Amino acid sequence: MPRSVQIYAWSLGIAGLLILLAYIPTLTWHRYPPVIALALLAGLFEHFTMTLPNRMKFSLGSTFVFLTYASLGPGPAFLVETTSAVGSMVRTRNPVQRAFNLGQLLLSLLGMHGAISLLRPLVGASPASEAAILLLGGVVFFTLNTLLVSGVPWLMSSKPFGSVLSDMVGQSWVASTGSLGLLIPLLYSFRLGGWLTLALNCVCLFAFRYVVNLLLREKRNHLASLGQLTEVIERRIGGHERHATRVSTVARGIAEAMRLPADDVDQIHAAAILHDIGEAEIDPRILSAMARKAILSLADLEQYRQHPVLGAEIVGRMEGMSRVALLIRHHHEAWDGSGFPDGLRGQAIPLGARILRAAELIEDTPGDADTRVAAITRLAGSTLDPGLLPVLSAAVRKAQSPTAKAAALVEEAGVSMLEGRLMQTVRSSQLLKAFGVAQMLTFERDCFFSYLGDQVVPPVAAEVSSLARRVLLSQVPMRQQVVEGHTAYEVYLLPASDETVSILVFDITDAVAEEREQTRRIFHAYRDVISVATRGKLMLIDDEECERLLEEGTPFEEMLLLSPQDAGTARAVFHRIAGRLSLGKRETFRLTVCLSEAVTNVLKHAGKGKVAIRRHNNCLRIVVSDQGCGIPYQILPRAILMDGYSTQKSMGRGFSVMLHFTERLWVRTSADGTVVILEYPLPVKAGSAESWAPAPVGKRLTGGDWHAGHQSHAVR
Amino acid sequence: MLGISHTQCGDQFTVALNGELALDTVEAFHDVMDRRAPQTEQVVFDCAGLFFADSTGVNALLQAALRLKRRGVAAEVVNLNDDLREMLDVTGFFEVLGSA
Repeated sequence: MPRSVQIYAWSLGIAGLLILLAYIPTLTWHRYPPVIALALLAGLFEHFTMTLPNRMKFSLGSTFVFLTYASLGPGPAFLVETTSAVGSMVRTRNPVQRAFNLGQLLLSLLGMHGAISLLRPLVGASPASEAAILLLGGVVFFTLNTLLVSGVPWLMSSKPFGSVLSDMVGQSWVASTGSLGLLIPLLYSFRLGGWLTLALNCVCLFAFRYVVNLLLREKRNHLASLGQLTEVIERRIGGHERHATRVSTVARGIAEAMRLPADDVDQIHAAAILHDIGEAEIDPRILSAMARKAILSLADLEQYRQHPVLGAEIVGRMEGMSRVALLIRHHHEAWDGSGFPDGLRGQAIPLGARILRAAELIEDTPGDADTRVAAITRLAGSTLDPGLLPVLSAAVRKAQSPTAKAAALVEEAGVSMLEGRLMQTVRSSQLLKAFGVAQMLTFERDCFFSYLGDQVVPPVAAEVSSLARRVLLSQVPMRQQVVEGHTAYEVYLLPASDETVSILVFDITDAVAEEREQTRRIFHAYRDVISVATRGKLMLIDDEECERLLEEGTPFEEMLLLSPQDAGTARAVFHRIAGRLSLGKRETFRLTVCLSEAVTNVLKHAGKGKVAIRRHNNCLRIVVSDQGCGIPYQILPRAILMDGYSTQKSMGRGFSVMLHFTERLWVRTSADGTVVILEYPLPVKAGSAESWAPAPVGKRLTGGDWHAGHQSHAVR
Repeated sequence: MLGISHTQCGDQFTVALNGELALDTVEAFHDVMDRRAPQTEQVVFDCAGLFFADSTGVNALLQAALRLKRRGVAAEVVNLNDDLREMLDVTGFFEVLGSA
């Protein structure tokens, strides 16, 4: 603590002691019991203080000091003030702070006594004028109190006294007005009803304090639990740990500095904690690429840009969080309209979302306060709201502690060293040059140059120059795969300046071919195992074979699967077809079970799909397909062969039941979806041409969306 | 479609199932079993009118029977036709219920 502050605090403490010594002898013995009772009440209220959302303490100690002053006079009031100050001292162990607290309170009370003594002869003795003088005295008390307290931060910081005072008034006016407001009703009820009424009022006040404290604690717990949950999610998705907590501290600081209403501040705080919650729904590969500051492909970038929308959807489902969800949705919008997801511009972006954007940028910018202020100044008008600049700069300087400064310096030095080394390694890679798989280029004034400065024409020049122009405009790094004939390239583009783009072009043809071969080998291994295990009943097929099977034969009917009810419709229509084909009861049951299993799988796992019924060489084929994410090869044997296993919570016996009831099953599965084809040989009689009368063309059947398929002349 | 009716006769609660038990009808079955949780010592699922159940339907029946069993209520499935009995065999219904 600076010496000046110590001298200031001790001087106030000594002044307080002198006041106490001057007034205590004026007390007569018969006054001690009521003084002690009021002092106990004041001390009690001061001890059980409330912490308001803006972190200011609110107690009713001062109200009881004023009550004592009005009822018993200045001497007892000084004694009660001392007790009240002792009540608050339990919270601090620092003797300087204790002396300062007592001193400034007693000096403020002396000022109040002086003001009231001066004013009293000027007005009459009516109750109204007495109340007015008392309130005015209270105002003097709180003014002096604020002035004296402001002295400490003023001496400890380089801020002008006016600015410190204005901050202090902003924080304390609620508590001061509350204490004064309660004084008059308490005083008059005490005068009319005596000690019993005062005791009852105190019980009411304690009950009120208890309820308010519960609400405030609930609010703090809510934010704290949101913060803890978010930290768990951050650890899980491998983001910057405690990133959300740090952004929320900065965002709350900005919102408070702007004097926004307490509810808005809390909403911004909650939104800041949860702003990246949507990342939990994004592919971890993309998040890890973002964390490494790697360049994203356009598709990956598009997916990453969905995280505010996904986050808003998650939070929007929580009760009472719709405003918070709106702030999350727009926390990546930019002032000039270049942000995402909605490209909102200027004031159309909610203020809270603009604050979030700024807080995240401040948090993400390494370096000291000057670097951060320079960064946000550069972005004001493009990304950030220029109107927020003064308050943002103040928030940055406030948040910059010495430890944060040191950490930022270390981080910055580490990153630049790594970048330098990496670039050097790439440039000197003899391997890359020997294999001729990479080209390092510069794009400037629509021309390509090698790193030696010669003008060159790279492969896929037209596509690369179009990408380079895009990077020049957006100044955002990009990664894209480009295919020319049988050759595939991976192109990395980094904006080097307003006119230059650095480009790396890799020939990835061999790598892609190797990966394709690897996938083919894995596919064949699984195919062989499953075929042997099912005695040839179930055959895993590739895209080509699937296409061929789908083209074979004649489509009979097909239907879209959109809701669980469509499972019932599909069965009903299949029954109709089975009737027309004169299938036996047992066969109809078995095939309906197979159809139902396949349709249920689509509706449960992919949400929607299609079922088609075809005929090929006197066999009935049921084709059920979806565009879900497929069944990963590694779980395929278990999904198909093992009882009781499923990726969803069910018996998971769809495939084993199908294998039991049908003669042949083909399955094609990939990231684009799954196709299941069931084949059942029809009894010879049922295969006759007459029994294949199709449904009338375009006839719509109830419950689903069945369409009659195309019929060849052969089956009519 | 699935029709469900229930009757109580002494200490036996009978749930009669009519129609099909599959993805589109299991919700209705669960609803009835949740709302009319029988307080008897024995529950009988009468499947005389049930003509179709796939593995989703069998699973619904199994879960209901297992829940009852955990509460100490004996559950029994009666009047199954041959197709349904085969279906319950293939899915291991009796095996799971017997070992629970």
